[in-house]
Amino acid sequence: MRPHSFLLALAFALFAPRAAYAQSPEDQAEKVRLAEDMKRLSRRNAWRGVDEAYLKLLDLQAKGVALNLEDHVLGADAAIALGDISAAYDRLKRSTSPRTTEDVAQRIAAIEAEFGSVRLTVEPKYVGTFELSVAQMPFAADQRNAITKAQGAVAAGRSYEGLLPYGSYTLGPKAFEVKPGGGWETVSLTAADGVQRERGMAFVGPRLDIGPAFTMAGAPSADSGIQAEAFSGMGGRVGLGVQMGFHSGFGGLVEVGYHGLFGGADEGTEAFPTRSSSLQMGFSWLAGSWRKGGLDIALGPVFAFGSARSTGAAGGATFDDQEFQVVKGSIVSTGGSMGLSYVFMDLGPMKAGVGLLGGAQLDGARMYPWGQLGLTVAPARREG
Amino acid sequence: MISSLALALSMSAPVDASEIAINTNGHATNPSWSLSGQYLAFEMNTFAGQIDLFVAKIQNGNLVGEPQQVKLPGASSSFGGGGTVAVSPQWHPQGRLIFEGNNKGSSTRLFDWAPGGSAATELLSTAQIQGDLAWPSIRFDGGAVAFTSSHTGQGDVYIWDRASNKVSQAFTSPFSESGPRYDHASSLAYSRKNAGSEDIFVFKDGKSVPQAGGNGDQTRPTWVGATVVFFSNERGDDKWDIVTSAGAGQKVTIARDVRLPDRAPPALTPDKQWVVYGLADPDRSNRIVFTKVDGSQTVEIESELVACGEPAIALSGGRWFLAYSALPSQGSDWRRLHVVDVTGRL
Repeated sequence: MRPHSFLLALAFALFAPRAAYAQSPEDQAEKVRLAEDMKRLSRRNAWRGVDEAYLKLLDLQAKGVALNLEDHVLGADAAIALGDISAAYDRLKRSTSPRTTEDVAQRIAAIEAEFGSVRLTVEPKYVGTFELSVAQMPFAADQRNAITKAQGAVAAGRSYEGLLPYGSYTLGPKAFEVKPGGGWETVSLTAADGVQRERGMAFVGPRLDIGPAFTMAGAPSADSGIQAEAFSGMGGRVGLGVQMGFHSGFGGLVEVGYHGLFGGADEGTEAFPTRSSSLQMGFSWLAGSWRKGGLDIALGPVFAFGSARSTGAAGGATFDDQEFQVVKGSIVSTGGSMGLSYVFMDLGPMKAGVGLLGGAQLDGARMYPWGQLGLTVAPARREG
Repeated sequence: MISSLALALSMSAPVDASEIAINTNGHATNPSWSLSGQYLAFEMNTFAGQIDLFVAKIQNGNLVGEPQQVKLPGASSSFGGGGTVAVSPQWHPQGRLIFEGNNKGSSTRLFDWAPGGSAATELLSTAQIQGDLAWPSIRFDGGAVAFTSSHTGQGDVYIWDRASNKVSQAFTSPFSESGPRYDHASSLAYSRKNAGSEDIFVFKDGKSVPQAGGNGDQTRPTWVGATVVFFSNERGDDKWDIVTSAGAGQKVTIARDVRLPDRAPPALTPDKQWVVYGLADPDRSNRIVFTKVDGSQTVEIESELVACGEPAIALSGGRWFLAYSALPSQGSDWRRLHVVDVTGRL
């Protein structure tokens, strides 16, 4: 070797990049530890641990650490035990490079002789069941495990790509065969394969909400002149109307009805005997609704009008005995109401259940919040 | 009954059996034929903590190639380590082999393997059934496997249903059960340990009923039609007989002083007419004996070998092949497996 060639070779040896094939002593030691772990765990049939150790070995391999054939074979054993025949096949294939053994070659051939590749997908727009079923569950444990694994993947993620034993299967309404030499078997469930979503109106009919209600007449605003003091009490509320809904679940309702409060008051004096507080209103409620199963939710504006009478005045200028003053007046209010009902009892074409309603209206002087727990009768959803 | 056997006994001339050559040490025991008669599974036991399972391909009574070792997962490469045990081979109608196996220090589980190279796989996961699993018996249609599990601390009989892939306990009992064996339908005969000895019970139509008891052990049942055939040492610890029981409480001894196989129940011919066994008497250990299940006739087939035992018979190509283990009269410490065509010898 001539001197300049020697120097060139030395320089290359010293400075050439070696990362691609380098393996640090730490990585090599970790490889040995993981390989020993795999052996130990495999003897206890602790295959999940073997699998985890193998995956860590693959990370080390990516960093340049060479794995043994035995590492890949144990990884394949773990994958088979865990039902992942596709991973087992990949791992056995990895072990064939750069050398192989008759045992590994036999195992690869056995998998190829018993399994075919499938790609199963269930599109999001597909509506209906999409269970993966096999005509006859095979006896062989590795084949059963592969089917179970695929069934789990389809159920959880609506797709599976990998190996399945040869045989007849169904994915939802679609039948397919995994055959020797058939290449990839691709099965996809699209919207057209599924149950067509029902369209149009699902129900329409009368709706009734009735039950006791607690209503408050809040404190009047300061600039509203002489007004009744805040009062509250139990009463009743009944609304009767019509509700309709579409198969999508959305719909609407309109109700008219009566909303009343019958509150008490303190005893007064001889000159100012107390009178009970009361509130009598008619209302109309227009709401959008959504029905899922027995759950019915409605939300919309309320218009209420009527009259109220109470004892005790507030607001504006003060005067003697104002707390015994009977105040009467009319109410014209608007607000909103929400109904949460669970209808579960069949009443012919209707469904009945419990309803929790609440809302609040405002007039120029105060707010009227209220709540009701009662009976809801609503039209039943038509099937089909 | 025994005296009448002597009248019906006939002796067959010595026959030449071909040895299943295998390049490993150990005693060959517990041969089990595949239903096609094409494969013969057997154990190689060094009695040093390791028992290997091999499968030999047999054609016209002769070994084809070399016996293939059935390896447990994790033992399929050179670092598998010693101390593995793979025993009790049972063949599925579809040609798969079920056996018990464990690595040193681990639980005994059931494994599934097929001739041709695929690695053995655990038949049932620990999520399906925990504990040491043993005594697999495959239903005639291959649709279920009965076995015992130590999950509750003692041997209980469980059944794995292939269609549903579910495991259920066949019945509950405070006793320890072993050796469940299916009949031609779905009844199970098994032995139950009670007060230090074993009795035979039958599980049928969801009910478990006693079939045969007595002194000593009544154990390792198998079926001939509705009759249970089993080993009994009612006459003493080392005196094993073969007994049949056609109904609850009924017992007929059809063979005495037989050589008890390592693990197997009494061997039967493919037509279920004969029970097959070796003899405990060293002077008569050079023969395999066939006795009709009804006890009416006995035929002995002599060989040039000694310590003959562990018989198993298969029907293959219209011929009956007998496999048994034996020692040559001199020159070997290991019992080897031998196969001989016994068609027309009975």
